[in-house]
Amino acid sequence: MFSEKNEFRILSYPSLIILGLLTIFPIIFLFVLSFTSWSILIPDSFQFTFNNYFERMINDSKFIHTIKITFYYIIVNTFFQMVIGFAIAFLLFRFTKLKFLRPIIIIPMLVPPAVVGLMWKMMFIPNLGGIDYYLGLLNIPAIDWLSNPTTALIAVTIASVWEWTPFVIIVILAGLDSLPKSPLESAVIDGANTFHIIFYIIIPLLKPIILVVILLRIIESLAILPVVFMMTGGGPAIATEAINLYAFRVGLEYLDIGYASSILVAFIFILLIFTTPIILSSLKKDTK
Amino acid sequence: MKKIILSIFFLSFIPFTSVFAIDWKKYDGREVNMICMTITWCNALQDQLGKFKEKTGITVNLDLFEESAAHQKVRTELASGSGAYDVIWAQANWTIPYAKQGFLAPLQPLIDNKDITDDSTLAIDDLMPSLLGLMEYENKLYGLPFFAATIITYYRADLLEEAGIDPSQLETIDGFYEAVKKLHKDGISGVAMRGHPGEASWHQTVFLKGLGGKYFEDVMAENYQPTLNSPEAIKAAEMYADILANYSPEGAVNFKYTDVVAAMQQGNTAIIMEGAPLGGLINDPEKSTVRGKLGYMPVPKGPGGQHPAFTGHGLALSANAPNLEPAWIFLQWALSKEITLDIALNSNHVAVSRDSVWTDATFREKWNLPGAGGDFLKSFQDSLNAGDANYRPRISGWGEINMSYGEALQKIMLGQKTGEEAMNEAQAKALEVLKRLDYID
Repeated sequence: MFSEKNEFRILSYPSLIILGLLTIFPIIFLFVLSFTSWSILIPDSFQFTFNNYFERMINDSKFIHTIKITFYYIIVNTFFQMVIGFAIAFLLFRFTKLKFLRPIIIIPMLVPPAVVGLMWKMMFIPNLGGIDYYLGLLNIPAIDWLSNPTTALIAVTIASVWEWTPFVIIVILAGLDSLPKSPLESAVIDGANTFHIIFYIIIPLLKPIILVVILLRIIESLAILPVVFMMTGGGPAIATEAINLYAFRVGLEYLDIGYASSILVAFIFILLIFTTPIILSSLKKDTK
Repeated sequence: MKKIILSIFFLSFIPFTSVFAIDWKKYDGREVNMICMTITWCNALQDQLGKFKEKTGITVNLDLFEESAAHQKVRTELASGSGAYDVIWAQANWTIPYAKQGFLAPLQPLIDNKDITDDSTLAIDDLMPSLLGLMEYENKLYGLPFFAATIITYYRADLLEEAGIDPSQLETIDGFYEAVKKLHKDGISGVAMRGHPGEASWHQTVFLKGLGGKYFEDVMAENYQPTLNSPEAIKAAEMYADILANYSPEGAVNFKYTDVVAAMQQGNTAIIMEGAPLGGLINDPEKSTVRGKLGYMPVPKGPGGQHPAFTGHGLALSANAPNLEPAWIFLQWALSKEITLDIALNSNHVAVSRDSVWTDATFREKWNLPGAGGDFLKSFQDSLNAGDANYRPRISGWGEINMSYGEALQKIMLGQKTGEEAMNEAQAKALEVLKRLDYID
């Protein structure tokens, strides 16, 4: 009835339209809002001002601070999730007797992020939560984790690593399971040790998977908002406040929609800076 | 024949009765949507809604949210003009911005409409005038208050006596400061107050204004030039930060009211300054270890006078309310003396907004909290009477200024900044916000 080309079009247009409505339209809308001076606190303030918020942003010390915290979350959280996740995945792959652990490991991912935040908040409360008790066994005095800027940041990282390392484990483990056995076997026959096998065989073979996992972790390391919100609310002072929490405050608490949209546009550009090299390098792989 | 005469006799009264009473069943079958935060009064109101349905046939759907979530929901619903809610929870600081934006329906036209207003139920003169004032903007009334909030000092009479401190020392800020230092030892914290950036100013303003500082040059004359880095303001900030960092329970820098209440309930804090409406909770027979050991007094005063915190919560009607008249009927009923008293007697709600309830014998009997010094109800009432509507500025940019002010206080507590540096930062932020919102040039 239809030519092949038309059939393709007819079948794909509905999904393209849905995709456009759900993802592209909101982003365009965000860009449009970022060019307005709309604040719900100011009557009739919905006007297009193309002078934009750039000047306000670079003079806004809180904005600069939240950018730094955002970079910290992207780099440190992703790094620890990757290293610990890879190590555990390799152990599970190497020692097949540990197979029973695989379903258990997924549990942290199944816990809703808000619950993760609340749970870790309680664990970090001095003299009440569990952390200080175990530190006390090692003769380390109780620390008020969430009231000190440095330890609060570490605490948030711990919670985030706990929650998302299982994701890394599962994906890497699936990659390891699907690796061809012959290179590994011949390496063992040639006398390679575990270190050599990991760094010269497994990592190069798993590179595409690792890149995708890093990409997803970078994007999602900013989905940390509920955990931060529940654990510290961005505090003490503004020590753990990332850019998306700041945009949330500006937009929904201070009702400055225009500025909040600009902050989020800046946030999208930051994500692009981090993710573009990874996407490009994985594309290169495909063309070879 | 007798029957006919009797019925004519009764029918002849109808024109007279209708002057005094309204037809409560007029909107039988309608629905009213209401939003409120999880505050004692609204929680208790939920259990009363059945009675209202019985009396009027109107169904009320009450949505309750935690405070900051409720704020956000109210603001976005009002700004979008959705009309999803007819009855809106309005915290006093927000009535002005909401009314200014035209989000709220003025109440006077409804009060004047005697078909739907029962003056004896409304009894507007019985609502505390200071609270009604919080619900006004440009001399128009936009809401009815249900909650009167202030803070008082709760102290452990036994611990003070042990340390040889006379409670009258807590009447001045300097005496309070000295007492706190002296009491902080042997696992007992000197004092607990709120340190969380969003909430700290609720307590800290007692010190700021008590020591002679202020937020703006002159609020009454609408001169909004901020004065957050004046010498008095810096001194007050440093004092508050010192108390929270050194003479308070661990983690006090992040304390919200729940933490302060718990600190007192657990019995290892000598003094707290906290909401008077929380008196019942602090003395909760099941949760509190200090019931009967507490003394009560108004907050301390300084060279700048005594400034007990003051705000109120009220219910307003959305300008886009699809069910305005039924909602107004509900508002009168919910704030009537009968319901106010019923809630006060059967829940943890003491912060009532009606003078007649404050003097009611059953109310006073229930809320005469056990004490070891001072009188709870008297301290509460005296503080309310001394309350200043502009205790904290009631302007639309306050949310943002308040947050950066609280963050600045926290930075001093954490030792990240000196008092002067932090207050300069808060001042700069306040200037930026006020300029942006056109309060100053």
